[in-house]
Amino acid sequence: MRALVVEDDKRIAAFVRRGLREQSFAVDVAHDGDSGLHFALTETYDVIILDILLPERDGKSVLKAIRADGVTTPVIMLTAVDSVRSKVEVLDMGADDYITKPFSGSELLARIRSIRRRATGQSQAPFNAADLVLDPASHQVTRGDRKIELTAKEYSLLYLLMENAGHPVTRTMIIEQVWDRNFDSFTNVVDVHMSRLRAKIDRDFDRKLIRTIKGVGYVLTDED
Amino acid sequence: MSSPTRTRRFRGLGFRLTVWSAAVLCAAALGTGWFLYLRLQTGLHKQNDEFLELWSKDFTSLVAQDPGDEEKIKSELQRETSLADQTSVVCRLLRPDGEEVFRSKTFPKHGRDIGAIIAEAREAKGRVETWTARGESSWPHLMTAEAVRSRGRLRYVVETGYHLKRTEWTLRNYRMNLLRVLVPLVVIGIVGGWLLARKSLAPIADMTSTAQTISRASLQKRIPVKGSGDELDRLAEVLNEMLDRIQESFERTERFSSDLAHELKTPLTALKGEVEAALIGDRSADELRVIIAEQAETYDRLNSMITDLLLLARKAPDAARPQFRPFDVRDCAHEAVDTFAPLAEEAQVELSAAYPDRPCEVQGDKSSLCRVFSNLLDNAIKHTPAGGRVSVEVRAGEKCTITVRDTGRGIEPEDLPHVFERFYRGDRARSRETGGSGLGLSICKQIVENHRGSISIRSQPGRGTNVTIELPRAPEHGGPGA
Repeated sequence: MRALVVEDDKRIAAFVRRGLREQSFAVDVAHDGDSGLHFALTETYDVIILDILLPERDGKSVLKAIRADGVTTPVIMLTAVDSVRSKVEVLDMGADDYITKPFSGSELLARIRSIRRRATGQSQAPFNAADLVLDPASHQVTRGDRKIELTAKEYSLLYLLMENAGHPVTRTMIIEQVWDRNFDSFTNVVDVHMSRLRAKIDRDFDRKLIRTIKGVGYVLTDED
Repeated sequence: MSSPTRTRRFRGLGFRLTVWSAAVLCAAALGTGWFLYLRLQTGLHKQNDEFLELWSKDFTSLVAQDPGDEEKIKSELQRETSLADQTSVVCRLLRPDGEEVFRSKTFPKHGRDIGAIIAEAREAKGRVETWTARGESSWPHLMTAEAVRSRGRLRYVVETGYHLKRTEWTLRNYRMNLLRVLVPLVVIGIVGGWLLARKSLAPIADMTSTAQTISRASLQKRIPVKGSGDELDRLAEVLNEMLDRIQESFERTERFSSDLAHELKTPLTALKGEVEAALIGDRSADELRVIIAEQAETYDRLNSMITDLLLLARKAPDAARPQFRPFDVRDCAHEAVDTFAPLAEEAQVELSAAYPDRPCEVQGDKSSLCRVFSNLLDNAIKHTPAGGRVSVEVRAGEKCTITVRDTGRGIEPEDLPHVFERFYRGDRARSRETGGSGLGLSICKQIVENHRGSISIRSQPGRGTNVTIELPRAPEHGGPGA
């Protein structure tokens, strides 16, 4: 799999590149808009990570040029808090998702997984982790042969965990994805909802699927 | 160098006030004097006229008594005019051919043609129009002439004159007196005007010098209010009120900056402490992992606080409005209750909600308005002890009204006016323990105001708190951006 990172800050570019390499991506890095556009138009990628504030040519204009050329590669925009006001605006520009700085590597990777899942048309395919199944088509969650009733928030939470099964999900990600906020002022909300979800998913089973990663967030995994 | 100062002085309000008051005073005095002078002059002339008429009648009747006896007439006239000398009456008797029969001693050489006088007297009924004769003497005479007829024939013409010495003297005297009064009056006008201007402008000068001394460091200074209740007092009050607001805003900014520094310093100190703890001594990988995890949480807290601050700093409601779309406020209430129900349950607080059946649509940014609900519910639940109640109510009236009530600890009256201020926490220790950054209500207020709404809070310590938000409703069938 190939990824293009267009980011002028070399430290951020390096850390994104490292994270992607660990997930076995082949990564090209461009430090300005013009060379980023050149890469995007001449090579084929599975995902493009595009900063909005760039020298030479800004991210929005690169995005426009890419889309005008008929390139449909999923694009994730990197934004500072101030540069983009809503998801709608980013999507209107033709991007597939956005992530606000500062972000963690696991957040970015989770976005990539989610986007690739949509891009490859698997969004309605059920998730499996051990005997836990989440079916997006019917909104049904079962463990073994037992049906589990979840609230809307718990369902979204579990969806996020299963979409990123085996990979950590941070609190920031949870707040952004489940509560559609780009701020994190009530972390205890996440903890309480997570503990209720865990009660429903794991309490009556020997095999615990959801684990806490202290200081980071949570992970759903069927490995020991 | 001095010319700008001089120009300023002559253009100054004080200078202009002085000139104007002096000019008005002089004009009034001059006008009054001139008017009285004219009246006096007219009065005197009229009096002289009447006097002259009387004498003219006297002389003509004297002549007409016995027109044949010239000697008798001459002696009579002589007697009359010499008696009249003190009263300054003169007389001349002419025959129609112009020959002078009698001339009193002080009769002026007025130089007017005798023939013309006789001709005029012949035509006139009674005495002729008076004229003023200026002879060699310094005082003029008021002159007239009258015909004396006997049996329809013109026998004599009597010229009578009245010495204007007294009149002229009176008028001249009056003019002199007027001047004697006017000159000091002008001086008084200028000095008085200057004093008046100085006195009335003194408060302005005070204001100017006070305002000059007010700087960032001495914002507590105020312009003195005299208490006279005049316009300048009002101006001073208005300026003082403005200074109050400026001072308040300065102090708020300064408090905010120092609070901000303090708030940032706390997590940074924690981070530094954790790093040092990790570096000192032998620690197992597990111990290090725990320390780093704590650091990660501190980073998150810092990050969320900075995000909030950026949100607060970004006060550009007009720029954000084009993105506003209509949405149902009930959705936010619903989501907030879903989110906080588990927390309320854990805190053993009863959480209830009431919405109308119909949608309550407002124009705005749903994500931020939902955050207002979250913040308010979060606060309410945190500050309500077990067994208490928290309720959310949405009402769709002319406006969309949202009320969050709790039966919690309440807010002390002295804290109440400050709860919307950034970093304001009534009880710092307890609040930090419950995880608040002290920005929540400021953010709520800003979001609500960006949506042209209003937020208010009422509270009774020990009884509970009510927060009420009013938002303008979206037009019924308005599309996005309508």
